[in-house]
Amino acid sequence: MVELRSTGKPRAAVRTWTSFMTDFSIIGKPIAMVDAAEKTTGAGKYTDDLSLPGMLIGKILHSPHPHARIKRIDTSRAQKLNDVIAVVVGADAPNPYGILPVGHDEHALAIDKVRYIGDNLACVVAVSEATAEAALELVEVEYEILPAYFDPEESMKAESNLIHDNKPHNLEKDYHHTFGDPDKGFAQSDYVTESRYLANEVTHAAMEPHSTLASFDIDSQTGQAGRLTVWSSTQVPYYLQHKLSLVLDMPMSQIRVIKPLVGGGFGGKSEVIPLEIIAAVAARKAKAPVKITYTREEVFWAHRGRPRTIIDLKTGVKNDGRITAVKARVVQDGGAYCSYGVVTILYSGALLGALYDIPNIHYDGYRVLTNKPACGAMRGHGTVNVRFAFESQLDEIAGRLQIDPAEIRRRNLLKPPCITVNGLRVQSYGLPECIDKIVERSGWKSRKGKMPKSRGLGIACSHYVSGAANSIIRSDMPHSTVNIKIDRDGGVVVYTGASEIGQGSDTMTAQVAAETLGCALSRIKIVAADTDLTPIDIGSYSSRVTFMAGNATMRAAQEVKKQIASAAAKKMNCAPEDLVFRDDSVFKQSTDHVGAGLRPAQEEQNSASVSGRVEGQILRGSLQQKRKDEGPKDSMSFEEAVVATIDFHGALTGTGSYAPPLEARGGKHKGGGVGPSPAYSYSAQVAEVSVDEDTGEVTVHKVWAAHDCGRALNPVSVEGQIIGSVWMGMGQALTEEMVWKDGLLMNPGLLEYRSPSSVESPEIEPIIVESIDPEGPFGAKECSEGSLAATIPAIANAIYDAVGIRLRESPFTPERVLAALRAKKNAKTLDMTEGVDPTAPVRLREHGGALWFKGKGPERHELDPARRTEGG
Amino acid sequence: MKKQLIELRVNGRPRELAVEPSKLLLETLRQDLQLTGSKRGCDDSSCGACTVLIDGVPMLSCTLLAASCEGQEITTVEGVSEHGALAAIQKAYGDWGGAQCGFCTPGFMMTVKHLLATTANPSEAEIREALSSNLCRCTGYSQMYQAIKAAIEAEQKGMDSLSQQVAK
Amino acid sequence: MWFAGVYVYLRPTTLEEALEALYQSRGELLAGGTDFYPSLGERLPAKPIVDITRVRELKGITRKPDLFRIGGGATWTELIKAPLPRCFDALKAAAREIGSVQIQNRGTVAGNLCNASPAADSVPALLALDAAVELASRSTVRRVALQDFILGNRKTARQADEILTAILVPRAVDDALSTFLKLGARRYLVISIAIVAVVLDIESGKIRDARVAVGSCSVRAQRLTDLEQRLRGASLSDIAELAAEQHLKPLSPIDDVRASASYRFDSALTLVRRALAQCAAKC
Repeated sequence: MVELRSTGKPRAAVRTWTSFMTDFSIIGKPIAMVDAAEKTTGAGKYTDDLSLPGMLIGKILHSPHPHARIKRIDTSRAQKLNDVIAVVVGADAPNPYGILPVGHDEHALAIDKVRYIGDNLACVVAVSEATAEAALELVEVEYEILPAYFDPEESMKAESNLIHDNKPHNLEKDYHHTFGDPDKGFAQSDYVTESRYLANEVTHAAMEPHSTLASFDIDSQTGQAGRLTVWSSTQVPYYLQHKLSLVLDMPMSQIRVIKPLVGGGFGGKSEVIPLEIIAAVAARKAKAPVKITYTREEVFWAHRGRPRTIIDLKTGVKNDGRITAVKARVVQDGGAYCSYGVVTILYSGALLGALYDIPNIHYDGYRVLTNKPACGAMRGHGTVNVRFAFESQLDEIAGRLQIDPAEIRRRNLLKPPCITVNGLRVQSYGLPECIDKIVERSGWKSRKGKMPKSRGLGIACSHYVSGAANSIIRSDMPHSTVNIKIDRDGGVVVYTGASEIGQGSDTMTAQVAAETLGCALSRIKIVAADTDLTPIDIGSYSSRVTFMAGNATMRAAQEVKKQIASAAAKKMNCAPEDLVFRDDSVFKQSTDHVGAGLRPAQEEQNSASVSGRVEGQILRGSLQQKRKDEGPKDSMSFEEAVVATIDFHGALTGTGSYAPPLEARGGKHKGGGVGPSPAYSYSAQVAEVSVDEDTGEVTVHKVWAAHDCGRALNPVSVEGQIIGSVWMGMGQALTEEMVWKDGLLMNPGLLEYRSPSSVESPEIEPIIVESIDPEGPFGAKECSEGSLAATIPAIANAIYDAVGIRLRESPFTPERVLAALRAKKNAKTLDMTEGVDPTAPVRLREHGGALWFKGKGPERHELDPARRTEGG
Repeated sequence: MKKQLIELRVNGRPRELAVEPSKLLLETLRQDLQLTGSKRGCDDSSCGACTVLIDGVPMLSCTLLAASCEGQEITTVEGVSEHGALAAIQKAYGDWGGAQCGFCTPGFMMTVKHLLATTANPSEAEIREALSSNLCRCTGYSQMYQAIKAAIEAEQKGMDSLSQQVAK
Repeated sequence: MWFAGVYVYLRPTTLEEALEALYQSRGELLAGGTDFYPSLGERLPAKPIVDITRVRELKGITRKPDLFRIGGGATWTELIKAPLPRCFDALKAAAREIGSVQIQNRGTVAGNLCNASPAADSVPALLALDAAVELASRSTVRRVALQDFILGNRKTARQADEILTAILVPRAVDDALSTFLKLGARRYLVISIAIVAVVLDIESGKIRDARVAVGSCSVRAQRLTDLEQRLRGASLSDIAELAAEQHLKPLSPIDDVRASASYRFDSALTLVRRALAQCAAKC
């Protein structure tokens, strides 16, 4: 760690406007989301709720084989079916694409090979869903079955029948990093421990299945397809615009992507998903609007979730618990395409060393291809599974050295501002306060070690980036730009490319703009995520929106504010710096803060009406006002100030953009672009669990989760995000697992992929810690991903505290827990499928013999109810 | 299948429709009546996003044939607000963060509406049980309990109390 | 609703109409519908649909001198609300944990039986009550013991032209205590890993009659007759200990996506012991 001395740079200009304010009027207050009513009334439109005249429905034919060459595909019979308008196949869109510039290995529809059960072969577009489905059965495909790879460590040995010809040994990418001197670090340690951990595959399972509606303008003279408009359930409308242009061979300016309401993403919609491209390709051929909505099963096959991961972790410490060295070998089972894979495997290493002060790190990361649906980014990305291993191992070390687990973490804290050994700049660092808070609230000191039988407490920490400092498509251009228009109607329209996916980005935008301008929240109208109208924001992923789009919003607001201040100052005969913007007014600092347009009660900030009504006199401009003037005033309403500005300066618009500073962009080593961020969030958690020693069921009673979000712009939202991430982490820890057998997903449905219902969901106490980041908007950092990772080891550590078993394979299902308990007690062993020992896992297993699933797809198992014979 | 004429009573209004007999109520609501509030979230009746009230009782519209519901009173989320104004539970969900992405919210609105109509002062355990049949992937459910309690209080004391509670 | 001689959707209101419609159309029966669509997958029904949700004679739960009659159209919620003696506690508990609240409001007990999933939640409790089913066709009415009605995974003795008109529970053990336990990864919205129903008829602190049934651990739920014999005459205290591995011989659990066979077997024994203990504690 390199300590940075304060650079003594002058603080950004923004500070002088608000530096004397000790409290905010809009941010920091709990408010309802600006689109809450749309959601609670059902009036808001998600993509599948949309329809266009003449719209057709598309259905996709999926591969029943995990790895096969396509020898022949014949769509003629399907095309002849009544009311089938078009059928598209791979040849209709041969340009490859992918979310990463180095990973353009996907095609809209398979060209020569299918690489996983569920891969996309053809799309039928018809007048009705039923017709399209019937037509799918008429598409004839001849396959040459190829050997398939399922286990990543086996796949890495492949010499032939590679999944992608240009990836020898089915290795998408591997990295080998050495920071500091790990050999020396281990040599200097007093105690070293090494274990293998397995984290099984989980997926986002957002409540809204993916959906895309694509429509070309068809030239009525020539019948040619012109401009394309696409509505899609996406976190990244601008990446979608880009990939569409690649595949369709069209300029981006001819493609308009509009994001309607999105029913959850969590990373599952943070890249371009096949149906989004297929719908456009089909719409072009059919010359009609095409909508494709995935069934829940198809959502599972599209996946792009968190890969199964094997982590071999070795940590060396001194007797006082100070970490001297860490060595990690991580193998990710990436599935059949690159997706975000290169970034995922880098995150596994990069954020290893930026939570605590670790002086020596060696990292070997392998992203392996297998014949299963591709894995991508999921909340917390590549950091989650490694954090499970690390925090579990740290707990083991604490036990061995007889140091309290909370204390051992305190002894390894960073001392910011600093640069970690792998080149990450850390400024605000609320981890110490997070640890203190959860220790206090959970009663850790007095209760640990004195819990009732089968009940325990566990602690763990995690963190995450507030946006990646380097964009996926590398450039020096801004990551977010925001435009603001204010007109004489007094309305403030904010045009932002930021994508609201339920995390509250529209509300954050409105709050930041309103706070900066001092106007009522109800004045703000958000126009978002429409590539024709809003300037680019690279997307809602890596938790970048508050930090980056928030900063861009603030800068745009400051720009218009400067203009307003200049005009208002002229009218009020003072200097612009003397003015305060607050409570929907502009007034001189010296004023008693009572004047036109002010409201006494804070709660009315988000009420329906704005201050006063705009008189016709004002609309006519300040020339008319002069006649009424009684001399320079001390304050004016927001509308008056706006009108004065337009009078003096003409139109009132502003723009602001944000790009991460150079010094936050990280090291120059290979892969060094992933990990750096302008700021990191921090989380510390304590979980209280009890274990049923006869059935292995784990009940989580409570989780205390402290999260350093820099500043909570909207406490209700921040708490909701903390609770949501902890809850999702708990799902991964206890009940969620994608179960595979021979490349077939055995549980592609919400009934069998079990995310917790309200009855299983524990009380989660969110504790907001504010470290006030120097570069975040109003000091804010992310609050949506950083907490997830800590929950898994917190539960693992609590299980150990409760019943003395160390589980190294997640999820900690009752079966795994019981097997471990039996082994420990030397009681009758529980023979799990394939004889796996969850305390010392060796390899990922294929399991799940019998099958319950429905829908189109591969050969059904004999016990599948959908195979039942007639009459019985 | 040839369509047949059926009459459904939806949100208090009679609607005459031509549908295939095998058409699910969910699809009929969404496509034929443009009531897109009820959502399709799964294909195995396991998520609850399509919940509607049939004669006041919550049921999954993905398990009901439209034709099977003739003569019954169907209430969807679009029928929850009162004379265009948000019902207490709708406002409370907004104020307390009960809705994040909002996709599961219509289903919850119906389940909660039924809960509040049948149980005067539900305990938190009773609330959890009542909500157990609707899945949410965003909120972890916690803020929903607060929203429900706030809505109950608001209905008892009048809507002004809602704003006061949140500010605390 | 006849269209050119093709029956597509029929909604009879009397049993006679329903049986006639079923016979003529050779269609599928639709009651609660909660497993109708999930089991079809994305395919549309190929056969005509006979919707029996309005058939008068199938409604209601009635008490007769020698038996209880649960109508073929009775929903889970109706069962939960019906005033029934203690021996039905296990069945009611099963009803409360089936599917989801919405599913309980619409799904029928009869439908659960006709579906005959190995994990059907109602079957162990009904087996433990020595239930029988009444099957009616145009020409006959017959009664079949439940264990003879369920033949295998999703296979029953119901003929294509028969409707399950009632579930009959003999009034032999009205006052018996009963308990139902279910093990699943979630409390609701789950297909169980193991389910157990216990009915204990007690007299003077001793077990006069015991019924123990386990589901989800074989193709068809099983009564553990050896255990039942062992329990007869035993005193209430420590009856949980009497259950041993050998009593579970009738079970043949499988490995599947929810659990391995070994875990199923193990947890079935745990559940049986707990159910016995809990049941005894109610005394």
